[in-house]
Amino acid sequence: MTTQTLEQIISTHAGKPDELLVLAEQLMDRYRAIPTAALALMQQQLGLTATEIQSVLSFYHYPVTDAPIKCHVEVCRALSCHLKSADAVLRHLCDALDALPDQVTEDGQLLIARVDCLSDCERAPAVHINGEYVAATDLDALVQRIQAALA
Amino acid sequence: MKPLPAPVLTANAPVADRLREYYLHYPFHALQKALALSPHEIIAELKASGLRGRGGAAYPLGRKWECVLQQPAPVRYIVANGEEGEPGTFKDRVLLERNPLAVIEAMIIAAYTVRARAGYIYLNHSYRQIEQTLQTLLAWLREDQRLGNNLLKRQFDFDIQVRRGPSRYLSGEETALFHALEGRRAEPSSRPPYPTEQGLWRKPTIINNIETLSCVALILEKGSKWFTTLGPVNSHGPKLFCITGDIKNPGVIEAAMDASLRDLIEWAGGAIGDFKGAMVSGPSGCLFLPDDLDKPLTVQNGCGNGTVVVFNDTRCAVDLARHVTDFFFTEHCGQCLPGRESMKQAKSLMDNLEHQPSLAPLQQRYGELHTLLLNSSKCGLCSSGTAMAPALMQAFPADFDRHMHGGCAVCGSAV
Ligand SMILES: Cc1cc2nc3c(=O)[nH]c(=O)nc-3n(C[C@H](O)[C@H](O)[C@H](O)COP(=O)(O)O)c2cc1C
Ligand code: SF4
Ligand code: FES
Repeated sequence: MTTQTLEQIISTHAGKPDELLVLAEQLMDRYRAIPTAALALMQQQLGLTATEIQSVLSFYHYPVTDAPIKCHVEVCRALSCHLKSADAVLRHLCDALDALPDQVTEDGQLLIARVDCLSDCERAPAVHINGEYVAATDLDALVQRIQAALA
Repeated sequence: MKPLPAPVLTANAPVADRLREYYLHYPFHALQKALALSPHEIIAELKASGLRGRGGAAYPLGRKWECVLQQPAPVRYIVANGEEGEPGTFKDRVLLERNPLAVIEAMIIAAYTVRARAGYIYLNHSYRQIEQTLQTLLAWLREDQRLGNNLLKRQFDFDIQVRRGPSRYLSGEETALFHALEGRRAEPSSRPPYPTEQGLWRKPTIINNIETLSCVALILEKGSKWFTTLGPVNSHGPKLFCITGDIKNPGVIEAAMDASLRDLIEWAGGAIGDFKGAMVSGPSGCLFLPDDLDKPLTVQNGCGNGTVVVFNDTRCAVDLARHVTDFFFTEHCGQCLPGRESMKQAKSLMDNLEHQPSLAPLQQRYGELHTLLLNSSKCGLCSSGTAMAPALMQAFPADFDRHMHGGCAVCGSAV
């Protein structure tokens, strides 16, 4: 992640505080987290205070990290998935990958987030790896997919 | 088994891999017909169809558009609500995958009707592919002057932007959605003023669900008379149902609102195990029990957004009540005092269920919280979020008694 690239992305929203979420989504698509280095730039360019930015980012549970996350896993825990053992999927992934739910691992590479409905309910239990649906029928295969994404 | 009606809303296969061909063959019949009518004639046609919103609240669409048309403010907006956050709901995704131009066409018709110059399609966080599809279609429409300035040489300007929001259930609530579009926390505003008077950027705004907009294009193309031949009075038109849970073939079923829960379950291959109940319109909706299986899924009977989550008799109602309570506790925003305090109490009641001497006081207290929220909370999340647990207590007291006296083998809990 170079500051230059970050600057370029953020500067396209200069003077447009209403584009904070558009920018946040752009950063998530690119870095799978909001880079810590982006916060000061966002303040300068969008003309918002640190508190205003933090209050929006925390409301939507955006992860803020120093380095990009390599693998962002979203495990749905909402009703249709709950009925298809979503809890067991989450436990299995966290145990196998030595991670805690909703916390970036110490090496900064992996985030297993619990989310409320990915609108893939007909294919429950729904899991997304870096934004893509992956079937959670074979849990060991799922772990391997994540390990491959981390490699 | 009753025959399943032929689909109209979902007749297409997904279009992403043949997008140019789909675009070039899209007839825009509804738009052509609309442009030959005056705004008042369009609204009269929509009112005659009886179309009600498919996002959950079933508000009559014609009345909403008319109200925006009557506002004196010169700037108005059109917003398509594709947040689709209710657990068990994915019908808007299916519509956007199969016929996205119907939604865009309806937005252009809405803009022509109320003279709006800008529109937004707000998408669920995970709809990345749909976002790309829409961006491509919008670019082609601009090239062909079907969007932009002097649209179709009709001297009106209208353009649409797509926004994929961060994932947060509350963002689907209309006033919260406006805040998300404005780059703020998706916290609801008090009503009045209603969005038709002060919506996005405090300007009169039409906000409709994706399925509602898809129906608009059909009504203008096929006529309001045709629309009223489907489904009973007050519940006209085709309706998508998302059926999941303990069901053999989960998915979207297109029918009309004269279909019963039994019909839907049969069309979806049957329940897995013995049917115990279903949450209709999702966890924020109402509880259907075996005695309700033959009730038609009309607006009056609580069809809501058409989500049906089936559960069988191996499920413990306490686990479901806890799950639903936790969901709404996690997703509520805490902005208003009644919501904040009541959700805390509702969660505590469910967490401490095993320490209650009997079900009656728990049921009464939870019911009181729900009534309080109905009368005083700022938006519908906390009130609708506290309806399902008391309904489960009422329907399945034995499951709750088991938890209070001795433990539950299903949940693996012991006192
Ligand atoms: C907590 C909450 C969440 C909602 N989520 C959605 C949603 O995801 N999609 C939707 O279309 N409507 C949702 N609604 C309803 C909207 O506020 C609004 O009524 C709807 O978008 C209007 O469109 P319609 O008249 O076409 O149904 C929600 C309402 C509440 C209270
Ligand atoms: S009712 Fe609940 S979700 Fe709605 S504003 Fe109040 S606290 Fe927030
Ligand atoms: S409930 Fe899990 S994807 Fe919808």
